[in-house]
Amino acid sequence: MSLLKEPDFGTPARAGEATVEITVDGIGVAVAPGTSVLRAAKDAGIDVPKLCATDSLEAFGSCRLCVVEIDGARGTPASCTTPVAPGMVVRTQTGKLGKLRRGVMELYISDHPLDCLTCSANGDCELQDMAGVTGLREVRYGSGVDAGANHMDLLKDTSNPYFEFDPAKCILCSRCVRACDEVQGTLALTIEGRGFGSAVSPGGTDFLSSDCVSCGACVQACPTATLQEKSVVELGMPTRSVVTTCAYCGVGCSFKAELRGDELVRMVPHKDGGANEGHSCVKGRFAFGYASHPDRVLAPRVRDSIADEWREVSWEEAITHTAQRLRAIQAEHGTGSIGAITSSRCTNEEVYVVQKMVRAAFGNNNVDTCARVCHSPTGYGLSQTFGTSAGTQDFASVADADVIMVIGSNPTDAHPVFGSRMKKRLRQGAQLIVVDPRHIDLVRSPHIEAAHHLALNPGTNVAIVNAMAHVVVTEGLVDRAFVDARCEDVPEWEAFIADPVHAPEAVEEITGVPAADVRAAARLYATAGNAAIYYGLGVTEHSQGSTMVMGMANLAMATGNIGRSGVGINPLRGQNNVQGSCDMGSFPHELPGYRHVSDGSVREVYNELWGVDLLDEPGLRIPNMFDSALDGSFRALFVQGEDIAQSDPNTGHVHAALAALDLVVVQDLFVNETAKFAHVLLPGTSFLEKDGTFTNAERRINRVRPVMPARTGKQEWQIVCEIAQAMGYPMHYDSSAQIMDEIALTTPTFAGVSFAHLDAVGSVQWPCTEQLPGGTPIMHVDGFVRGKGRFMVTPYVPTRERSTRRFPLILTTGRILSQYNVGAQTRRTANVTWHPEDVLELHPHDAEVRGVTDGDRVELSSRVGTTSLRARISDRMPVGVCYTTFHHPVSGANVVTTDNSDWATNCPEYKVTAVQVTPSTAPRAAASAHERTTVGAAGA
Amino acid sequence: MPDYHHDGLDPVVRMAEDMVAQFAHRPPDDAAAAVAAHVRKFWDPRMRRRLVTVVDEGADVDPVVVRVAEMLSPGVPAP
Repeated sequence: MSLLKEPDFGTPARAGEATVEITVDGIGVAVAPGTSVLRAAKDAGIDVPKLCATDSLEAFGSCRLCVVEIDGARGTPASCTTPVAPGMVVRTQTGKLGKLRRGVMELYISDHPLDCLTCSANGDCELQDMAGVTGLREVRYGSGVDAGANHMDLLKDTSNPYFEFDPAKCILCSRCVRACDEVQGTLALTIEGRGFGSAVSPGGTDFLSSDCVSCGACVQACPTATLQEKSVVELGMPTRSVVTTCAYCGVGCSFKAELRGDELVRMVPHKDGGANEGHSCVKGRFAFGYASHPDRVLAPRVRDSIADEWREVSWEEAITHTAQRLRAIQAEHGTGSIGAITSSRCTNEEVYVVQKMVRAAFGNNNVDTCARVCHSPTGYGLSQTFGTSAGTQDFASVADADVIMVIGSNPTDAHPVFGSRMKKRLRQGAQLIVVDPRHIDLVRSPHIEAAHHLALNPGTNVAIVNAMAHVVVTEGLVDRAFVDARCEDVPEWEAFIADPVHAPEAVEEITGVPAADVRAAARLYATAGNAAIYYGLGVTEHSQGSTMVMGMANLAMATGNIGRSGVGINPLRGQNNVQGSCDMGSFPHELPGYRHVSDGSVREVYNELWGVDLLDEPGLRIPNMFDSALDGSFRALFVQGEDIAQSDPNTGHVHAALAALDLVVVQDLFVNETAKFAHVLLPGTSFLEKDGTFTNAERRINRVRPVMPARTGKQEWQIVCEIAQAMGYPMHYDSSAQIMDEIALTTPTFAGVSFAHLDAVGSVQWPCTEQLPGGTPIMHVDGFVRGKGRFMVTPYVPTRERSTRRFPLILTTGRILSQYNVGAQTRRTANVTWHPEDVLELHPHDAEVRGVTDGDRVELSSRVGTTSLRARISDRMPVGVCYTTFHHPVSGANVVTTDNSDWATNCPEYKVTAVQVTPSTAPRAAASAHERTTVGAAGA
Repeated sequence: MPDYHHDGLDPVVRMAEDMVAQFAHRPPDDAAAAVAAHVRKFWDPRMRRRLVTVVDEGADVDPVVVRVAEMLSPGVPAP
């Protein structure tokens, strides 16, 4: 539930023209075929009483409150389960109906505690509301504990850290069970027992021990206080609401932040949110406590050396000191000796000003963003083939897919709200191909089973995608009309891919995937109708990440799966604003809107507006900054909201580079691992304090509205502007809206974007221009952005990283549902209940031959470092492959990952590291020698 | 520079060789031209200079990398 209510139409909307005309209580209304009478009544402005119906769920017809009378129909049918018919005449308010409804309510109330005044749902209870609207004045059967046999002595389940389950208040409407089934798709809840013994159950155990993923859909659906947020129980009902955008993954869910004063009580998913349409996950829904965590840094800090203690200073001193040090370093070591990293967790406006500070005030192009280490190959690959650096679809498109191919992505963990959308479509019958070394949950879950799981050897993506394309070309499955009309470089590519060296049989030994499976998957993808590819970092974080992106684009073009709903190439972005940080010109070779710095006409736009003479040469990328720090040509780094010391590969290398710098400025919420190498710490704002926009994985620009004042006293963009000004470059905005106005003025794909427009329409997907004010949900509909789609030759080149006798296993890394990235936020919430430490997943065979049992501490070693984790024996892993996450600095998964990187973009190869695993006797193994040295020097 | 990758390669050489491997299906001069174009588009000038220097100093590198370095040498105009 939500105190600050949106209209509830009772049953879901039906697609189609409003062609069915009916009359409800004398009011005419036209609705789409298949619409329920309940919803049609709401469309006519008439609220029919209801309890088991809500518009996020299909009709169930159990509560009998929504009964109506229909001319010519017998009895009093439930309006939720009765579809409209032409000419239907409906009455919702008659004496007979009133009596029936009061009778129903009497039965409900006879088995419900009458503690409304002290109930946590007081004022937000649909049972209470219905007692009112039905005119209930007496309960003939008695009520409360005097009503005979009842359920009021059932005990609460408080095991979940975020919500409680009080079965004494349950009315068995099944909304929670249905929400878990239909919205989330986990099917963790059920109604156990029969008749009077019926009860909602999370599978015969408590919620925490069950399959429940704490998405909150059941809490949202519950009409009483049976499932209630603990924060509401503790703090009381919120009194105001602000619609804003989640700051976790790239799905970009819209939420209503519900508050009492400036105290956030709960986050409720927004039904009108284009990305999530009322759904949420455990992070966005519940894990917001980090914003008020005592670890927050709220005042600037400065120190001369990283061996010194921090000294709290005023904003003025911090800004002046930062600017003077940056200029002094430039004076001594050159203009190009300093740079910055922008954050994919910050707003577009905050990112834009950092890249502007670098280009205009620093006078160089040494700006990069954390997309470097995740989706930079997406930018390169899709730009080369399609002409723009973004996914092709909106999330809703998946509902039209006939076959879904998931490559190197685990959406139920990493992008859970989109994962639920995908699962819904799969339960409806779309076919599934999973390309992943691991047996991820999607491969087989309730009512879902992959038609093909291509469990390839890590590092062989390109061989697989080429083999699939080979089948398409050699078996005559090319969409010739599409390719001939809309693509170029076709003959060269077809000649390349038809070479027998790419045949599934030829690459079987490389990929480890039986050729017959590859052929069957390729035929399914090419012939099933609408085929959509969804992919993640399992594609990009390889030495051939860019090649793989181009290979997928080739496959989609060859089969005509571009330019309409249900198809496309869809990167699932890791962080909330990865897309936006790239859009805003965070790459060292590109100005906002993906325009190369060598383009004189684009530079001229900025030269004129900013009063500068921009460089026409690219600057350093993040890994290049580290190398240049070690060779002495790069001396100072401004890091906006990223924890590169934990998240970037080969920790020993990163720490040595950071320690070599003369000045590290960190802008962040916490003293993170990178801050241990910093000389200036500028406190940042949480998403609850920001005013700006995020752009999600479907190019949707969402407003981020300030829910409370900045706890630091300054917005992050203000701090950056003040540093630039202190460096002598005039940079001032009155508001973040003004920054977006400048972005729109200078970036053609954002030309129609403004805060006012977003506030009016909710959100838009770029390109958003004067001609396209509603944005562009699906790209490349009539033609590609670059004109014709370009086929690219994509040879398979094995990674440098090889398993050997010394390092016989391959480690691949990723994330899990409850934690996010380096864990700086989620580790400071109750989400640690589910994932208190990173663990190493191992196949039972690999564990057995090493004498490792489940829960043992093991030493994980690679060519670059060693760390220690607890082992988890898991048959999700193939033999020879192990897996861990990088959410906890204490285990430091990146101590072992290497500097191997994508050939085109330097995106690190996190997904392939040759390792050895041995039983460990130490309680906490050390990291690499480099890390020991570096961390010791940092005093950390 | 310390060898944090434990492979003895200068980072710019490793990156250049990675690129050359991607274009190995092309004739050597074509491959070198493609890599040089990529480097011009995406590498900071100091990295380009370093590659040229490392090759000039006789590093043991792929012959196509040598050709790339020649194309990136000062005074050689971009095509």
